[in-house]
Amino acid sequence: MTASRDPERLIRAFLDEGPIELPERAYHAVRSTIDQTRQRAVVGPWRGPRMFSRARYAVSGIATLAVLLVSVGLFMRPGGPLAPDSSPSPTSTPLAAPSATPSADAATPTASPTTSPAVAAMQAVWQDDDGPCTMSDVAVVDDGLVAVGWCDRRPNKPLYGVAWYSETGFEWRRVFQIEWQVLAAVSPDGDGEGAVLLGGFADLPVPQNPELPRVFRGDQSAGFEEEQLPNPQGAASGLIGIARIDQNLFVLGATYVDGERRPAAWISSSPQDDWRLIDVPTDLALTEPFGYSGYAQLVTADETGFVIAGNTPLVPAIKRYDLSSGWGAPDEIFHPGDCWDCGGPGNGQVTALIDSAAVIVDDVLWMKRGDEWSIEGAIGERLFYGYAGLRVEDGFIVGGVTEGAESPAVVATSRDGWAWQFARLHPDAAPPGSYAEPAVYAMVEFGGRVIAVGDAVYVGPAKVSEYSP
Amino acid sequence: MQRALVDQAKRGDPEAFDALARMVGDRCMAIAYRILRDADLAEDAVQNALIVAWRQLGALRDEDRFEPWLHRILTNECYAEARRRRRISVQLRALPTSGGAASTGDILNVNDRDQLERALRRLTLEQRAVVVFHHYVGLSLDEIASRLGIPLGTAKSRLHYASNALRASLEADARAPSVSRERPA
Repeated sequence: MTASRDPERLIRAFLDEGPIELPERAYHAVRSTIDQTRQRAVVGPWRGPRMFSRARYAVSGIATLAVLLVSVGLFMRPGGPLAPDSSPSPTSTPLAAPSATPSADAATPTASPTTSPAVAAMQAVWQDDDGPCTMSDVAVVDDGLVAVGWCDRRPNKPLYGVAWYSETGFEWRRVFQIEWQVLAAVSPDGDGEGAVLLGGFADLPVPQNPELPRVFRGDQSAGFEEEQLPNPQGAASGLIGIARIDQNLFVLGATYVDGERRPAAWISSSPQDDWRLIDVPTDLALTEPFGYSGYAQLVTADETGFVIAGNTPLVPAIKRYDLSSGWGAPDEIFHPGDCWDCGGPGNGQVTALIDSAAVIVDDVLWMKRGDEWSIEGAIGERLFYGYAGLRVEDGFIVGGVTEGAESPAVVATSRDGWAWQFARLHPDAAPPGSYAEPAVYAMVEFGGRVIAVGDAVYVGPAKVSEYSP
Repeated sequence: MQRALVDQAKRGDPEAFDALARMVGDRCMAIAYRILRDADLAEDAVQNALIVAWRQLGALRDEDRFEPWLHRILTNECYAEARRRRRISVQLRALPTSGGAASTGDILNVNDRDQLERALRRLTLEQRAVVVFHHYVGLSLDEIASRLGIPLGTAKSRLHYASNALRASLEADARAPSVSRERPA
């Protein structure tokens, strides 16, 4: 074969043909758009100085957690923040006016004629006085609530406080040394007593550090003990989410092998059993760590297994791990007749996996009926991103952040005509340089009410209808 | 220079981002076109990718990795654009144009172009992306896997399949005349 017929050369020559200039109109269009588009402020460990040396990790030791424990008795007791006539204690700082007052500018009607003005049915019951502190997850344990997060009130200093609820309100106390803000997630332990916490770097391609994948197990009285997770190939790992079904706990994480991010998962079949690594097929890539998606709710449990969210090469998808039969095929969240461009890279990313038949992709709620996914409604007019979602009796309650990361908010959506209510929870933007984003990151139903956590603890009705004016 | 612009753009400077976009826009267009085989779709994909990049720039941890980071966004936008338009797409042949286009002289004949165009269009978008990043951008398989966020093995298999398909199309083209000649009249 002559050089000119060398297939490689011909392929390269063919690919060399074609447009090589982006037309000027495209630059103008981009410029015009970015002039009107605010950048996403970044919250997360990757925002800090890029000094991820082994030495740093050796010194800093473990990635640590701030833990907020709320005992139900205290939480609900007379005089407590959830009690009808609670009076704030010095460190319990209910946010009154800003969160409880409907916001006039948030009252723009949306698709449904039954849409009502903004309603702040969800109220903040606690916020750190010295803020900003951020709670990234919350779970119900046998005797109350446990939330996890971090504080950055002392820049460049370890976190001293882990917040426990006490007679005087929420109080941050140290459980673990911290030298770096971390993504944290929490689940009730397999026996329902106590909690299992994740603390890890959500998504940093950190240098190999076999000590990173770990969980912390314990409760309020006994404290927490660290448990090492088997580390695949000795690669550094970050933990993303945790879910529980019966005695089984499931942890979703990421590993970095040769700089490549891959999903990983661990299971513990009971509080007495060791953690074991389970293979995750590579047909589902983890959600990319753009923007705030490090906080995305990406793992949940159903009756017989666990569900994780990610992306196939083309679209967001979920994948199910059945406890008896293992992994199923990716279930692509896609419908040819619906929205193709739901924001974010590609066709969007799952930011809140509500259950195996309801997900939020950026700012769009998708539901599965039968074998078909379809768009239930776009919440983008209210929430820039929906980070957390909860299926309640008469619809969904979704928490997230408004456009420009301005404030945390929830929308309560009815299945009946897609009427929704919007509540802007907090008007204050995070201070410059802060790691805290004023957003709702996690929600849980507890005691017939919805608890939402983020820059504060919010409490609201667990029925969409009760969000009506 | 690019790093400084990325840094400024991360701090919300649209002028810096505009300058950055102009530094990388042509390259993005070239890549997008070669993945999508359609100039209009490619232009839209690049536009969307740049806007996504602006919005998400704060998430870029290493300013020196701006272009690889952008290429991953761009590739995803190419996939999205293709799927978005699939419903209304009409199979139009994209012929080499003169203005703003590269040309390779006489290495390729008309049949080569035709066969390669057909073969490329038969590839999946994911395979095309790997082909483009390997043969056009000149990345190694390791780099492609990292840039596209796919396992190395996947990159290898996509390139293997695509290269075989492209070679086969050229070989078929080369064989076709002789077969024709041998056919009885």
